[in-house]
Amino acid sequence: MRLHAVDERAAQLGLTRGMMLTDAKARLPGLLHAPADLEGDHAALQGLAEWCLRYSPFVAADGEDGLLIDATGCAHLFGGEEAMLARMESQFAKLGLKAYLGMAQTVGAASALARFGPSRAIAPQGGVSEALSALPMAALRLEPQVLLLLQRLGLTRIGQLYAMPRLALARRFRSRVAEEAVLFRLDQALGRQPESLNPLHPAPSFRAHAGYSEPVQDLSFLPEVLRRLSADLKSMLVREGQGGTRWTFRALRVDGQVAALSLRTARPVREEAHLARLFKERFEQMDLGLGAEYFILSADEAVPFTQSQGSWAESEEGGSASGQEEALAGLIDRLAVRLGAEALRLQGPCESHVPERAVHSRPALDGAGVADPAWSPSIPSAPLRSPPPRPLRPLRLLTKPEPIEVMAEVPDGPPMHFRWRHVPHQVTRAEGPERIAPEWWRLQDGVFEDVRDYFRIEDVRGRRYWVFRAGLYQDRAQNHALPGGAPSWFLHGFFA
Amino acid sequence: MSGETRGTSRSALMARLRRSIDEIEQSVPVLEEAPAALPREEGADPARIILRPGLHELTASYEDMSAARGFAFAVLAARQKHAGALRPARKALPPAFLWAMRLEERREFGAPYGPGLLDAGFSPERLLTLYARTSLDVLWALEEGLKAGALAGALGEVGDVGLTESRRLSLLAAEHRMPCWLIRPLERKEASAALTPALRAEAESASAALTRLRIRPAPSGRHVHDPAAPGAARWQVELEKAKAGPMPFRVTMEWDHETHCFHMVAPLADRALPAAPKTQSPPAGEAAILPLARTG
Repeated sequence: MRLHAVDERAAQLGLTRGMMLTDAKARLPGLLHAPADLEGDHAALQGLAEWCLRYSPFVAADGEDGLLIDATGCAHLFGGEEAMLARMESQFAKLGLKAYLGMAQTVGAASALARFGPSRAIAPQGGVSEALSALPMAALRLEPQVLLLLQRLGLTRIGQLYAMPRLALARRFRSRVAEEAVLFRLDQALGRQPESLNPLHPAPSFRAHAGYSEPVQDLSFLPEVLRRLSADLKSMLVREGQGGTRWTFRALRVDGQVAALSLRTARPVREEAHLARLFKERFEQMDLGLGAEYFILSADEAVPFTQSQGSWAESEEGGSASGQEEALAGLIDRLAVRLGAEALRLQGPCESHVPERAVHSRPALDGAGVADPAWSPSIPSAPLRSPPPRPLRPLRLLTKPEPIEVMAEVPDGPPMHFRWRHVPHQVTRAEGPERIAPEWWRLQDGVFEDVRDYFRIEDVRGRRYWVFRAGLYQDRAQNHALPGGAPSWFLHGFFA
Repeated sequence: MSGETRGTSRSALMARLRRSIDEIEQSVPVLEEAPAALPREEGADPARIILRPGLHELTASYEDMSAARGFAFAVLAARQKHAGALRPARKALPPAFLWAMRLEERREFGAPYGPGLLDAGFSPERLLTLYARTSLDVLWALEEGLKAGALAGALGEVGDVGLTESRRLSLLAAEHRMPCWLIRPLERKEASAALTPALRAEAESASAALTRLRIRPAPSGRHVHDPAAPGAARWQVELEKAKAGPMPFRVTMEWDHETHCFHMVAPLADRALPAAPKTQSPPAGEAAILPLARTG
């Protein structure tokens, strides 16, 4: 067993990473140690990255112990670069973490400065190469073998590479991979090769944030926070003529963790009252722990907002058509937020003659419009028309047809008696069969589904059902290879 | 002397209070969208009553629940037609409805099926179907639906409803002038077995709904082309309770999916066939009976 990480005190006493645990214990008999929890470390780093969204919307984890923050255009919010780093250091210290900070124009240089440079090092504009020259080669994020090679060549400081002609440098390496790695990393650090960070979250379209000097611990204060943030956000959205459809509310807790709520809306939204109603349902799910001091509300997705102007003549009670549409979208949002987007559904027609595939059910939140214009009435409302082109369909369709026991008079005829869920029914009237063949382009487990013969039947009491027989008697009789002798019967739906 | 006057004043006070309570109670169900459309003599038409703004309960025994659901779809179709006729300017989009049920109901009795709804005369593109986990969620969704003012009606399938819940829904429906329908099985789960029949009946009638209709399936009407096939859907509808409404009665109703109308079925003249003829060419004796049965 080896040491995975050592704290500052242990490092001072001469322990290093990678040392055998037995050696370390021999040196320091009172050493406290615990097994490394790599997954836990990773999760904690991700949580900390979320927490750093307070500094910039672009944050990414860097390796297993670093965070990259794109502070472009953010430093002035904290009173300049030095002040920003000082603030970060003190805020991390409050979490009980010692942060090593570095700031530069490139990801590579910032990473090098943070890990190997002086405390709170900032590479000045155009002075990156100078700032890096004294740092050891390890700051270039190279593989250990490559580092060893460089060491053998007598190259220990980054600055030694600057003077060397690139061709000469290349000649010294035997392996092309190592040569390319060194040059690539050097170019990245100096900004000759582009490098971008891969942010945790895609850039939100709009974002408002607010910090509080005292941690907020009481959930009942959240609506007030939200009101303040959504008012800020609204003015931004109005300025750009946009409305948000995906929203995230983040509470950055004092313990370095983040509580977040995300929701979607059916239509672009920017009204504070609407957002307040949607989030209100979910606030109780937020775990503020010991309190949160910083809040971010972001519209992660925004689309052009179509302003609906209410008619001056509209009546108080009915509202305009567009007002009604908006109210409907608002209702969909509220129901979906509280009961889940999957719970609230609309259905549209599908091009298929197999009953269960003839409809397509989708969450009501999907799609900007609420209307699905594709349904065309099979029976226009004009009275006294010829019967519909296809036999009637049931009002309710079971998700999965349920097997029934059937007694039929003739093999291919309608049932006379059937037993469904242990209850016997006597059939008085029947219509059918309507033969529905499987779609030949669809195979289920390599075989076609059975042909179905549907019957619309009514029992003695007047209850009307839709039942079908899967398979044909003659097929079964001819083909003895098929399992089960007689075709099976199923109940599939209910009529009025 | 003084005791006597106090007595009369108290009784007068009580009478006044009773009167004002009556007034309050009667004022609630009178809310109508178009009062002129409801002449007094049509008050006994369940097809009209069920479309009135307010809370309506549709009950059925457990095995007849699919009939109650079918009846409810017909009611929605009638309401859709009614609401569409009230607002001809908004013909482009049919009025929206909310149908809330529990996941349990979907598992047992399936989901509303678009093509079938279309056949019954209801256009399903704006039917919001909600599959909630509990009855409480269903009731909450109905309340939200009534409050939103964006629907033409809200319908919920619940296992059980208490007096408080039904009162809340009833008040909201009256306030927002919207019909709200509740479908529930007749058997109450809790403690129903422990009660005496009289007490059970009282517990079941404890509801603030405007009306309660008991739905039973009925043999369907005559099929135009095929006497052996089920015809137009029929139900036996019993008005069990109506606030400030007609006396309880029982009728057989038929849904005409072409004109989107309910028809009353005259009990004798228009009655259904007793059973399907066994073959397409019935024996002479059976054929002779049929006209008699119709004239009866």
